[in-house]
Amino acid sequence: MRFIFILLLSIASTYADDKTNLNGQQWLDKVNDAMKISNYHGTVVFLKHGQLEAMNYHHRFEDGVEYERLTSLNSPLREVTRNSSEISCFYKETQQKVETKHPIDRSFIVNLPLHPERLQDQYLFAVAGQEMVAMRPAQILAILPKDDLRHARKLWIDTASLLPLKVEVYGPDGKALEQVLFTDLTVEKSNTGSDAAIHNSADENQLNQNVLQAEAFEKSRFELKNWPPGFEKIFFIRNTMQQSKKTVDHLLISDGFSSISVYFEAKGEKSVEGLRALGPVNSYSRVIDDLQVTVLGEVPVQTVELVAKGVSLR
Amino acid sequence: MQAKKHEKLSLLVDDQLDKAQALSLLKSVQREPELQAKLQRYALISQALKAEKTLVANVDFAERIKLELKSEPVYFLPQKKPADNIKKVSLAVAASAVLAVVWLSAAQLKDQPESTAGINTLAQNTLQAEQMNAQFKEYLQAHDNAFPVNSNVGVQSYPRMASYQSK
Repeated sequence: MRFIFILLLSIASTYADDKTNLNGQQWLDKVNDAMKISNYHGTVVFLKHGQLEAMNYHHRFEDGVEYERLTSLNSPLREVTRNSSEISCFYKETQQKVETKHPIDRSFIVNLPLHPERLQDQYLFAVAGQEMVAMRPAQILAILPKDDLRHARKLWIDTASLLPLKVEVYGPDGKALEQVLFTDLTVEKSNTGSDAAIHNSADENQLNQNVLQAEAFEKSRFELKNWPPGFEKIFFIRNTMQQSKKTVDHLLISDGFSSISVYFEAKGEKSVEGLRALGPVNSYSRVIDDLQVTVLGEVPVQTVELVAKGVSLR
Repeated sequence: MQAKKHEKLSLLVDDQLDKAQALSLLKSVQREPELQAKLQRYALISQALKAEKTLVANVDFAERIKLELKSEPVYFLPQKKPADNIKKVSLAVAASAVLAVVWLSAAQLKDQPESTAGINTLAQNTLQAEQMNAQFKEYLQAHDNAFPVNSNVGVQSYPRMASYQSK
C-alpha cells in the first residue's frame, strides 16, 4: 500500500514539475501541439473590431488534417468551417456562401508561431500567474514585444489540456484591443496522434507552397525594402476582390502572431492616402506613380507606415 | 445649533413652523447646501409616508430649473395695438413681406451656384468615403481570417462597417 502511495506521489510530482518548470517558449510549443491534435468544443466569445460575437466552436483532428467549425449564436446566423487552410462561411439567412483560402491561419481562436524559438529577439515570453477561466485553472503567458512594432498579448492556457482559453491583444496604451474567450470548454477523449502525425500534416506542405509563392514576389515589379525583424514573407498572390472585382496583388508577411498585408492595385480616379484604424487593425495607404499601395495589419500604426514607406518599384 | 436647524426643518416639512421662523430657516437653507439636502430628504420621507408613490429629484433640481430659465431666450413680443391701428399695420406688414420676398429671391439666385457646389463637394466626399470604406472592407476581408467571425463584414452594408476612425 505504501509502495503504491509513493509511486502515485512520484508520478504526480513528475507531472506537476513537467508543467511548472516550463518556460514561455515551451508553453507555446505545447499549446501549438494541443491546439492541433486535440478534439474539443465549447462556446467562444470574440470581441473584435468593437463587436461582440458569441459562437459555438468545434475542433477535430483526423488523419493529420485539422477541421474547425464556428457556428454563430446570434444574427446574422452563419457557420464557418476550416478544412486545413480552406475557409468557407455559409450565411443561413441569405443562403450566401463565401469561400476563401488562407494558408497562414491555423486557428480561428489564436495564431501562434510554429517556431517561437526564432522570435527570441523580438518577443519576451513571460510565464505569469494563474487564473481561472471558464472554471478551469489557467496559466497566463505574457507575450511582450521588445520593440514598438507589434502588439503585446496575453494567453491563458488550460493547465489540463494545454489549450488556449483566453487571448487578449493590447494597444500601445495598454488597453485591450481584441479579446477571445472560451466561456465553456469540453475536451474530448485525447487523440493518439503520434508526433510524426502532428508534424507531417498539411502545415509543412503548405509552408513549402507558401515559400514558392513568396519567391514569386521577388520576380514581381514590387520591392519591399523595410519590414520589421521577425516577419517573413508568407505568400504573394493575385487576388480578385469579391465586391469590386478589382485585381489586387497581395503580399502577406507574418511573425506568427501578427500578419501584415501589402496590397498593390492600379490607382483609381480617387486615390487613398494616409492612416486608418479599425480596432487592432491599422492601415497606411500611399500612391507610387500609377500604383495604389495599402499596408494593413493588426500591428501598431508605425509598423504599417514603416512597411508602406519601404515599398518601391523595381 | 445644526441639530436645532434640522428639528426646525422637520417642523417646516410638517407645516408646523410659524411664518417668521420659516422665513429665517429658508434663508439659511439658501446659504447652506447641507441644509438643502436635508430638507429634500425630509420632504421625501414626508412624501413617502403620505403617499405610496414618490418622485425623487436631485439636490440641485431647483438650481437647474433656475439656470434653465436664465438661459431661456427673451422674446420681445409686440404689445396689443388698438383696433383702429390694425389697417395701417396690415398694410405695412404686406409691404414688408413683398420686400422680403424680393430680397430673398435675389439673394437665393446669387447664392445658387455656390450652394450647389457645396452639395456636390459633400456628395463627392461621401462617395469617396464610401469607396474608401468598401476598399478597406475588402482588404480587411482578404487579410483577416476573422471576417466570418465579425458579423458586420461580408453581408452588411458598409455604413455599419464604417466604424473605423479616419486618421
